[in-house]
Amino acid sequence: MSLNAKTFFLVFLLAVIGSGCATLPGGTPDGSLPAPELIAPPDKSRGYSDSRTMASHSLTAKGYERLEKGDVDGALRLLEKAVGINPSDGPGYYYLAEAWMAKGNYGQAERFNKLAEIYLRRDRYWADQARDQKRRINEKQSGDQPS
Amino acid sequence: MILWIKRLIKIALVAGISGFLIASLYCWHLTGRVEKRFSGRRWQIPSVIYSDTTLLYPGRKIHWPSLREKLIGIGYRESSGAPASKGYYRPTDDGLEIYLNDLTLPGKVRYGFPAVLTFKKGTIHSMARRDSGQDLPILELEPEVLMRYFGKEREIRQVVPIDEIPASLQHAVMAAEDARFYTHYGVDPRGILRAVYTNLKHGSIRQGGSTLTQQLAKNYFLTPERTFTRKLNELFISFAIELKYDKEEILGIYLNEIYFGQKGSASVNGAGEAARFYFNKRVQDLSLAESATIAGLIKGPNLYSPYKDLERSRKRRNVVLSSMQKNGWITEEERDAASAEPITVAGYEAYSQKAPYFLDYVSSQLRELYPATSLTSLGFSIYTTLDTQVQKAAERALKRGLERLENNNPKLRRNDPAKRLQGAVVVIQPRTGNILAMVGGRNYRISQFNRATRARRQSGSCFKPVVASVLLDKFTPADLLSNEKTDYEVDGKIWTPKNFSEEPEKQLSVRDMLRKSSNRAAVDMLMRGGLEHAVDRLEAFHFSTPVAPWPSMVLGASEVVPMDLARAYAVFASDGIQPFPLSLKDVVDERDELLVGRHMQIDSVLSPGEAFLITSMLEGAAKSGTGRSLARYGIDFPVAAKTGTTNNYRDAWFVGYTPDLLALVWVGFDNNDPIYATGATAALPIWAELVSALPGYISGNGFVPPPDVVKLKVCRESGKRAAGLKCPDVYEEYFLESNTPDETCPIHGKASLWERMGRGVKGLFK
Repeated sequence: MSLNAKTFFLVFLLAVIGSGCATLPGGTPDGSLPAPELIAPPDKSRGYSDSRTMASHSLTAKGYERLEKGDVDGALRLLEKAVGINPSDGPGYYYLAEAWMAKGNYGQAERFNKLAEIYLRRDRYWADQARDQKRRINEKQSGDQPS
Repeated sequence: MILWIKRLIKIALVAGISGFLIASLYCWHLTGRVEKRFSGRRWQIPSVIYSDTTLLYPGRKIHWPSLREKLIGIGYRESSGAPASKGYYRPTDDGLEIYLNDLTLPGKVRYGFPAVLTFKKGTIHSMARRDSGQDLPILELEPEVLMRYFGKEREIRQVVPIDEIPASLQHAVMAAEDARFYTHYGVDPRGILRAVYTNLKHGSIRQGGSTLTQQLAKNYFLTPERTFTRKLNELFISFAIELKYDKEEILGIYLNEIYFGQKGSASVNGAGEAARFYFNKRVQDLSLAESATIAGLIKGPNLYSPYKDLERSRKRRNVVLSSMQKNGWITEEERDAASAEPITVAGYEAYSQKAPYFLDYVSSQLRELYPATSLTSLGFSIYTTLDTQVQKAAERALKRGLERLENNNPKLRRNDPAKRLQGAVVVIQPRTGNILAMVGGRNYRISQFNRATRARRQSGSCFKPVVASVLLDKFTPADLLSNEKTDYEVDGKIWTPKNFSEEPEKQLSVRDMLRKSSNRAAVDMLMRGGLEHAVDRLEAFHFSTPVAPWPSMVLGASEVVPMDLARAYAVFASDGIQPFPLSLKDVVDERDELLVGRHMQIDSVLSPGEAFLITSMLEGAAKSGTGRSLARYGIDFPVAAKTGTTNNYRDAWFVGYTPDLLALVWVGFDNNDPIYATGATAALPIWAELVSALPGYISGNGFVPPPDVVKLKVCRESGKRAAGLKCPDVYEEYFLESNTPDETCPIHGKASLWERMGRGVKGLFK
């Protein structure tokens, strides 16, 4: 497969986000949310220049903070804005799935998780997180089914 | 005799005291009614519908005139120096200085602060707080007021507190109507005597003696009858008003209540609305001359309307200015300067309702949630998804596009405004389903029928990608379809689909079928793929109209609602998920309690791969197919698009999208008259003009293949996997990982070296 400029940029972008992720504490074993720093805006000095992504990540980070505080509706509003301006905001979809899980709507959570899996697939850490999220959603869904 | 006189005096005294007591009691009784009527009205807080907020961030493309229009729409005012207080901005050589207003949204409060934005090459280069110098990654501008519910239906009355009404207007109204307002008790005997004298002198009614309070009392009644009892009642009500309220309150009620003219079937009431109707300004921003013009209208709103007779209005204004000067409210110089000013009215267009079709759409949802009385009095804040910049661009593009079509083809012109060429535009954010703009027709005043959400029209070739998407489990983009004349039996009759123009190819790939919009190949795809199978899968798209199980269905023979079609295309733009179209987001009550909070809701319709394959094929249609003229309009970023034209040129469609934005344009006559133009010639230019006006909304990013898609080399002749170097015409094609061609090219795969060499030599002479 030829690595054109856009593919290279995407890989680079995810690598930048990923490298930030790797240096920070990861998700907890009980499946709670990873630390907010994971989605801090990428460092401009490292050649990162997509301001649209930076803006969406800034909203995602705020959305995450709301989620941590239990303000699920506030988080949803911010995360929706984030994916609205940057449709490839993988962490945005990840946290949207978390928010819908918090609201008990596992169908929506599942759909957002699918999008998270697509847009986080090139980052090992985040791809694992999305897979783990999928597992948690499935568990909840099967737990909710009448026996 | 003396006894009689004494008795008479006694009777008169008793009658007088009793009369006074009865009158007082009546007045007291009336104060309650007056309070109910006026105070109730005063304290009723209309619900307000807001647009969405606007996000600014470094790197976002900026069109300064649009941004300025946005700031003015929100209520920002330009300052000459650096903005020192909230609500002001100043354009600078390289950007903008702005002192942001407070922003209160559901679950969010941001206090205003000064910010500096710099622009470079049409984009925001940097954003920082002016006080601390701190960089800002993102900045949110407040939503715009779209409408206020006040009274029945759409009547809007901008209630303005008296302390926000400029002194010039207060004085002008008093000068015009009741100069001694602050000195009388509701009735002005001197004024009445003067009016009687003037009227007797001229032998006709030249002057009225009613005070502002009396005029307000007249407004208490809803009918204009002129009886003695009614006059007496008015008098008592005037006293009651004076008893109940202080002078400033009365003036405030008066200025928000009084009739200032007529706009079509709607009345313009209150100074706030009058300022907007006549001068397209906030009442706070009226000049002295404008204040006097508005005050002059009260005597005869339609007689002195500057829309009717500019000269008469000017003369009346100058009478008011002279009266203001005579009463000492302005100087002679101020009077002379204001009298010399021409009257420049805003024009009906400027006054027109913002996004009327969208507001109807939102209102119908609100009415399901709340009774009209709640909306007009409970002071809800209603937040919507509308983006006023996108809305304006959509309205402008449609208006100009339809005019252009009429100018180019006289057969499209109609004398009856109700029968003119029509159009509809829907702009959505395909990921979130947020409706950014909606234009349901050419002119809301002429027709309130919302074509975007209520029209049912055949979709023509715009339906082909929708059908193709549900048959991607049966076909690959490289599979070959028959493009030859074929008869089909439908309900016992023979039906032979025709192509729009003669096509020499006997076979077309699925990709080329969409690129060229070939009818015969499309029907072949549907019939081979399974009509019932397609119809079953189409249910997932949530069309509100039935899709008939006919072969012609793939050619868009079934009627669809434009909004539904936009929603279907959103599936292609967003990895196979379909968002619920959102217009109403949040409803918050007076105490900031969230009553309704709607969120992005998505449904899975196609696999990400299926959606991407359609997008990839529609990118081809936009680049080199029926949408290729987009390039002529300067559309140089990745776009996937499809044109649509129905039988006898009844409908022209264009649906195009980027990963960030999806817009649909429909053009046609309500009565199905032909428009003598195709989707490419009638609807595409409107789409291109609209999207070109929205630089900040297009990232320019391309569509990225999802993980369930692979790219393989294909032989063009067989549509199968290319046999290495044996196939002469090879191209790269996307496939679903689950549906790749398992067969290697049967035509060239077994060709010997000699055969290949022979073909090569032949090729040289072609």
